Amino acid sequence: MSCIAENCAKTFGRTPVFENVSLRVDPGEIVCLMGPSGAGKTTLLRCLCGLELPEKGTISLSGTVLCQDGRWQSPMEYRQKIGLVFQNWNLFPHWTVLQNLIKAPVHQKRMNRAEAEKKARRLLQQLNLAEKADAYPNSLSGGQKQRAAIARACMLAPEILCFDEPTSALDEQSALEVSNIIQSLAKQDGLGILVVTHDEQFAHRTGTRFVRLSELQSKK
Amino acid sequence: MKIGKLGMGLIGLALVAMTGCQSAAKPQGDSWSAIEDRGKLVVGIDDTFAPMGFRDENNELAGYDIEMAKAVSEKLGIAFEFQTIDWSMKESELNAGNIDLIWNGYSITDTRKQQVAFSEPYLENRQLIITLADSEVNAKADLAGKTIAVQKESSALEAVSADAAFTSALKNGAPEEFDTNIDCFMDLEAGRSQAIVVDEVLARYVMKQRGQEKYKVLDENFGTEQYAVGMRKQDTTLLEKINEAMKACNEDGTTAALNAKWFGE
Amino acid sequence: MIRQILPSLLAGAGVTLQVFFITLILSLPLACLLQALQQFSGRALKPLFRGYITLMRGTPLLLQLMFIFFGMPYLGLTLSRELSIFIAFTLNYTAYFIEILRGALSAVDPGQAEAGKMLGFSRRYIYFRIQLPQALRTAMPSIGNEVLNLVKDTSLIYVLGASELLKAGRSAVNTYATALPFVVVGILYLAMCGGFSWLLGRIEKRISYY
Repeated sequence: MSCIAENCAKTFGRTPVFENVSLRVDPGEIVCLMGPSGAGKTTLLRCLCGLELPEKGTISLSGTVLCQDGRWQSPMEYRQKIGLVFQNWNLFPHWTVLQNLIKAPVHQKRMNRAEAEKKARRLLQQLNLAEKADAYPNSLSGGQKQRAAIARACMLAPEILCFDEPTSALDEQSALEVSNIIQSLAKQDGLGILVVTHDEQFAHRTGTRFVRLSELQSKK
Repeated sequence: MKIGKLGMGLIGLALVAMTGCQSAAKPQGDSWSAIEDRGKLVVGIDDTFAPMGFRDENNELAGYDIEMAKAVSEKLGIAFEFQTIDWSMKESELNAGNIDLIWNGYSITDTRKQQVAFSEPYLENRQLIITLADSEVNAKADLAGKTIAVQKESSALEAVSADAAFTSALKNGAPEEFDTNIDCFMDLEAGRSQAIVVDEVLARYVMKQRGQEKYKVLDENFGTEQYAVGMRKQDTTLLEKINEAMKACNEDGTTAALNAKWFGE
Repeated sequence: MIRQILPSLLAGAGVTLQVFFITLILSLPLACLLQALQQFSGRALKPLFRGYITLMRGTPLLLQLMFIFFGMPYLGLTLSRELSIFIAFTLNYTAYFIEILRGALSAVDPGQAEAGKMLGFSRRYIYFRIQLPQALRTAMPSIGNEVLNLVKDTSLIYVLGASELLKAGRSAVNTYATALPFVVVGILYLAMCGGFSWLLGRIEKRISYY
C-alpha cells in the first residue's frame, strides 16, 4: 500500500532536474516535501503522479509499477490508485461542482450515477460545500475550490493523495482548514499524503514527516 | 462513440459521392445514340440574358431561345432539359459532357469555330447605334468629338474599335466602357454620352422595357453577327438533326412567330 | 416590379440558404473530428493536415469549386453540380474551422487535460467533453465571422450555374433593365446575416454560462 520511488532521475533537455532520488510514502503518514521553488519538487511530484516520465528508476504503488527506467509499465492502473490536487486545482469550469465530482467514477464505470451522486453529496457535506454542489467553479472562493478539488480526487478512493503547493493561493483561514482536512484524510481514512510546499509553517502544522529534495538524493 | 459517428458520416459522404457520380464520362465519339438512350438533350443556358433566356415573374425560364429550343425539341421528338450555366464556363461544360448544346444568343466567331460545331444561324444580331429621340446625331459622322458608351468586352466594343477613324474622332479618342448594357443605357439617359453601341437583340428588348419613344436608332450600324447553336464537334448526327428541325421551324412559321413576339419585327 | 422579381430572388435566397446550412452542418463537426484525429495521430498525419489546410486556405474557393466540377472529370471522377458545391464548400470551411479550433484549443489550460488524465478519463473523453467545449466558447466569435463569410461566399456557386441569390439578382437586373433587384438582393443578404448574427449572439450568451 506504499508509494515507492527508487533511484529516479529526470532531465529536461540537457538540464538534470534530479538524480538518484528515492522516496516512500506509507499509508496514514503525511510527507511534506519542502525546498525552494525551482528545485524540482513539483517535477518529482508529477513523476510520482505519472504526468512526467523519469528516465531512470522505478515508481510503483502497492505492487503496480508505473514506470521502469524510462518506460511506462501500467500507468492507467497506477493512476487509479493515486490522486492529485493541483496547485491551481484545474477544476473543469464548464461543469458544476457536483459534475466535477461524479463524471470520473461514472466514466470509469466504478459507480453508477446514483451511487456517485450519493457519495459526492456526502463528501461535499463533510467538506462544508454542500450548498455549492450546483455552482460553477469560477464562482467559488480559493478555499472552496481547494476543497472541491480534494473532494473530486477523493471520489476515486485513492491510496495516495498528492498536493502541489496547496496553500499558495489561500488566506490563512483557508490554509488552516486545508491542514485539518489533510490530517483527517490521513488519520481517519488512512490515506498516504504527499504535500509539496514551500510554506514551512503550513508544513510543520500538517506533516508527520519532512523531507527536502536534496536529502532524497543518495550519494554515489 | 463519437469516432463511430464520424466513421459513419464519412462512409455516408463517400457513398453519396459515389452515387452522385454521373454516368456521363467525357464523351468521345458521336454521342447521338447515347442521347437517344437517355431520351433527353441537356441545353446549357445563361438565365441572366434577357430576352434570350431569363426568369419570369414565376421564376420560370422564359425567352426567345427557350421557346425556340422547345419548338426544336418537339420537332426532334426528344425532351430538352435546361441547365443553367455560368456563361464564361460554357465551352468547359460542353466538353465535359455536362451539357449537349450551348443555346443562348451564342454568336458565331472564328475562335469559337475552332472549339465547337455551329448549327445554321437562326438570328441576325446587328450592332446598333442608339441615341436619345431628340438627339441631333443622325449618322456616325455626327459623333465626332462626342462621347459614346459600349459594354466592356462585348462584340459591340470589338466592332467599334475596329473602325479606327471613327474612334479617334471621338472625345478622348475611345468609347466609354461599362459593365453591362443597362449601364450604357443609363449613361445615355443621364446625358453623359451622346450615343451607345449595343447588340440589337438586347437593345430592342431594353428599349421596349424602358419606353421605345425615348430612343432613336440610327440607320447606320457597326456590322452584323449571327446567333447559332453550339455543340461538340464530334456530334455530327446531332448537328444534322438540329439543322433539320430548325429548318422545319422556319418553314412552318414558328420562327417568324417568335420574332414577332420578342422583337416586334 | 417588386412582385415580379421577388419569386426568383426568394428562390435564389433558398438556394443560398441550402448551401449555407449544409456546409455549416457538415464542416463544423468534421472540423472537430479532424482536429481530434490530428491531435491523436501524433506526428504521422501532421504533414497531411498541414498540406490540406495550406491548399484550402491558399487557393480561392472559386478555383476549388471549378477544379472539383470541371477538373475532377479529367481525373476520372465526375460529380454532380450539387455534390461538387457541397464538397468544395465543406472541405474549404472545414479547413478554416480546424485552424480556428486549433488556436482555441491551445488556449485551453493544459492543466485541464492533466486533471482529466489523473481522473482516469480517456483521451477521447478529455478532448470531446473537456477541451472542446471550452475551446468552442473561446472560438465562438471567430466561428461567427466565418459563418457570416459563408453566407456571402455562397454567391460563388454561380460558376457552376446554380441560381443563388446574387445571380438571381443579376438575372432580374438584365430582365427588367433596372438596378432595383440589386437593392432587394442587398436587403435579403442583410436580413440573412442580421438573423444569423442575432442567433450567434444568443448562442454565445448561452455557452457563456460559466
